[in-house]
Amino acid sequence: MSNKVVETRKLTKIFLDFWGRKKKTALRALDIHVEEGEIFGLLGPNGSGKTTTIKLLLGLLYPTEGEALVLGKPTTDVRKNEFIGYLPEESYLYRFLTAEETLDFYGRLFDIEGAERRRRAAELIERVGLQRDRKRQLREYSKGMRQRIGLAQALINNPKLVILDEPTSGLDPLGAYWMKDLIRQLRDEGKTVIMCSHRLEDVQDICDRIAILHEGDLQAYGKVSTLLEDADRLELRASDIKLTAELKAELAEVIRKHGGKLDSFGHPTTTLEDYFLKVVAESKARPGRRFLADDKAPQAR
Amino acid sequence: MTTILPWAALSLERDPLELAQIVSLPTVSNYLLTVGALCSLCVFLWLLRGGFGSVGRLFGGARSMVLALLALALPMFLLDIASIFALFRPLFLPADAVISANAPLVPRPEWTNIPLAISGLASILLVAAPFVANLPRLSLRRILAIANLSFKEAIRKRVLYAFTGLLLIVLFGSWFIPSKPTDELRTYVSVVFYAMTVVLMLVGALLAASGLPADIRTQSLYLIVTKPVERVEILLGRLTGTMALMTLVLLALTGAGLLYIIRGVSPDAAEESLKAREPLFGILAFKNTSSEAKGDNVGREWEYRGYISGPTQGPSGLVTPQASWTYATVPAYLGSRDKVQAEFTFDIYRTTKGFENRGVGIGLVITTRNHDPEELRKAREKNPGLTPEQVATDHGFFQPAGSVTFFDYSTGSVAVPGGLFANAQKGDPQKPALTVTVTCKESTQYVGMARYDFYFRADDARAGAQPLRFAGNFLLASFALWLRLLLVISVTLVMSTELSTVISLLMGMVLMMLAHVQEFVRELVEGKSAGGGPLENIKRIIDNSVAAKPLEDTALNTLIQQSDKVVREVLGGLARFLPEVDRLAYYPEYVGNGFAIGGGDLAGNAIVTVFYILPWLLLGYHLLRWREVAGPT
Repeated sequence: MSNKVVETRKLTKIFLDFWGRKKKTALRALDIHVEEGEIFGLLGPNGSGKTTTIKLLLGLLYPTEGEALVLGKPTTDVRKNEFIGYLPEESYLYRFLTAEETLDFYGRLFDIEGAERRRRAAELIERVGLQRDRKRQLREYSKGMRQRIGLAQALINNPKLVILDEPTSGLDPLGAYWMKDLIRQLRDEGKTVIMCSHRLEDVQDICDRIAILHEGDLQAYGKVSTLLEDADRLELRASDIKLTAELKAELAEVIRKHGGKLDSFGHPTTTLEDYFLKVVAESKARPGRRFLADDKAPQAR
Repeated sequence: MTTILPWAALSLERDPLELAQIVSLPTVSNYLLTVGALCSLCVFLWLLRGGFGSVGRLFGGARSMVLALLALALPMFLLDIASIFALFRPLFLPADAVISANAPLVPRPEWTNIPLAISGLASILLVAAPFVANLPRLSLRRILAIANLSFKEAIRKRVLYAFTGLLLIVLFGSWFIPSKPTDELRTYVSVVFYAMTVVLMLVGALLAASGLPADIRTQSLYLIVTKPVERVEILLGRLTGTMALMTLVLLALTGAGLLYIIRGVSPDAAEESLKAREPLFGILAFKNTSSEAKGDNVGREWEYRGYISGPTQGPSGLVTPQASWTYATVPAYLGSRDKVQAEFTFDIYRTTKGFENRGVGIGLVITTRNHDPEELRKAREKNPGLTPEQVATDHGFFQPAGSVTFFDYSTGSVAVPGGLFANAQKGDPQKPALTVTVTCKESTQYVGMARYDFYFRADDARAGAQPLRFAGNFLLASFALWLRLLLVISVTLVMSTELSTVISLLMGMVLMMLAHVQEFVRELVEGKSAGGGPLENIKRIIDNSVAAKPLEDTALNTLIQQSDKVVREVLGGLARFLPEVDRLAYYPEYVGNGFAIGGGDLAGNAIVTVFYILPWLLLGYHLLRWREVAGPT
């Protein structure tokens, strides 16, 4: 896992008003990379810059400073899009088209031949479970169905990189489970996935690495397992035993005495949700603090 | 002997275009100067905003080429700067100085045209370079996919309902439009084309103005630009889709209108106008009048026609003013006909009342380049029984027997022996093949003539109604309407790449309206309009003052009048970029009057329209390329 699929260098986006005055710094000097074959999560509260980052990577916005390379090409080079699939947060699909027409339309945009286009469309419609509704216009679809056809259009070109903006948003628990399962399948097929989400349990479930943004600054960045590790405490895991007060008092001895067996002994982890809230709270408490590459702890600027 | 025909001749205030005019050096150089001026301004503004960095990032040959083009474009940019300063030039001119709408803003010698045109071409190439570099990546499949999407969008959003109202006008309009049988077809054609023009242009402009802004608003464009789609493909796709839909509607309406006219028109009207006459026009010049190009001026407000009087006493005896049409060539096939019909519609300017129900007598003589009066005289002496046909064939001379008279508001005709046209095929090709000379025989009347008031019929004048030829002509007029649609849809679409639907639609409409009132804009620029310039007129409206009354000599009025001069210069500058739509709008007149639309004229107008649209599309390409599709979140 050493090939960088995405790399940003001091990527900055400042929005200006009509008179050219600075209105908002949406992203400040972002330095991250995404490796081939991983699921990378972008986290942050509303307005933190995660959607701006995605839009910059896709060429929907142009950087004010810095640059980003996607699949080795600048973001302004539309040729990179040959290998990208994108599912936006809201369904931006044309509601007057049917599911089949939608996939056919986006397939044409990838310049895919007719027969191949039809084959892929049929395959994807089956994969997202919309065979029975393939002839209906999308205006008649529910939010969940639109999300499914949205994902199908993102995969019509068999992309190397899939970018998903809030993929589980608006889905019921079963739909969310299905979506997460599909994202894992994409990784297993060798695709790289970048997703941003508010649902922290989803990110914890499926992401290999994450970046946490707050008010345009990178606050945390790295492997999920490493970031969630609490180095000041030890964790002891035991099984086939009932935990009593006595047991707590004399842990290691008691386990042995009561005939149990020690499964693991190491650092316990907190939940991603707790960690996320802690990071955001710290960021609010110390304005100007930001994550610097190769540093384990966030530094004050 | 003249025959009076019931139809009127065409009044063409602008000469029909000829292909040779369009592909001539002056036209091309003028185009390069106008478009190049805009392009060079854009290029250098882009350089000032940091474009040098992009040039620096180019490699080898590409960089050298861009630098060379920049060096070539520099003179045009300097001219642009000078022109911008020249806009304020009228402030330093005397109050009564004349501003010309056509003269260059910066006076310069004629020889500078070609070098500056080359500089303009370099500027255009610089602006077009990114687009040209993109060309190999364009995919017809993607363009057609977006076109198909626009098409489906309009169909499924039920835009076509807008046309059903139009169909009602076409089908039942004649119930409400009373017309004389002689005007019947003319009225039908006018109503059909007027209704088609208004509805098609409005709906076309609305579709063009709403597509892209709606995609940006609903963010559907996010999904398109994140595919390997070049921005220009979006523009071309939208244009193709909208045009495809409008073409289908235009074809359907043309078919319905045509069917209705052909089946509904009365036999008399069909006999008169359900045809496509092919007029052969010559070049008009006057002799023994105050102006060789314009004849005498009788003080009519409409300066379309020049006038000749009857014989007048000059310093050295009796002088006969005459108007003559010369034909460099005439078609050889006319020589094989028994008779070729000449038709004319002249205007009478009376200095005395004249006689009731009696027209004005004119002298009409048609000669070929081989005519020798002396030879004819000898031949007549030798054989007094020479027929007019023999004289025409052998001596290249024809004069109608008896008197030729004509009436106001009607077309006269004379049958000319075909032999005259056979004779005109021979002789020195450097001389005009045929000359038609007209004189006025009445000393107290003036006869007014314009170039298009006299013509020979290249088609068979004896044929009755010709529905097929009429239908072909009708289709050509529909094609002219299609060109206008292309124009308005392209311009509105380009505006919609940056502006909202409403603003794009309004600006597209304003541009088309200004294009239709170009003459008025020119008058405004040249200070010929009543009540002074735009600002002065606004003041007059506020003050409720009469246009003819001079403004009082106050500081405010002086400021207004001086500012008006700058406004007029700016308007004059902008007027150069207005499209030529009047010519395209005139074609239904040809059809209604039963005259064939000239193929060369229409082709010329098509070329002019396409070349007008190209810089707009280039602008749209750059606007869409630079545009950030997404906004802050």
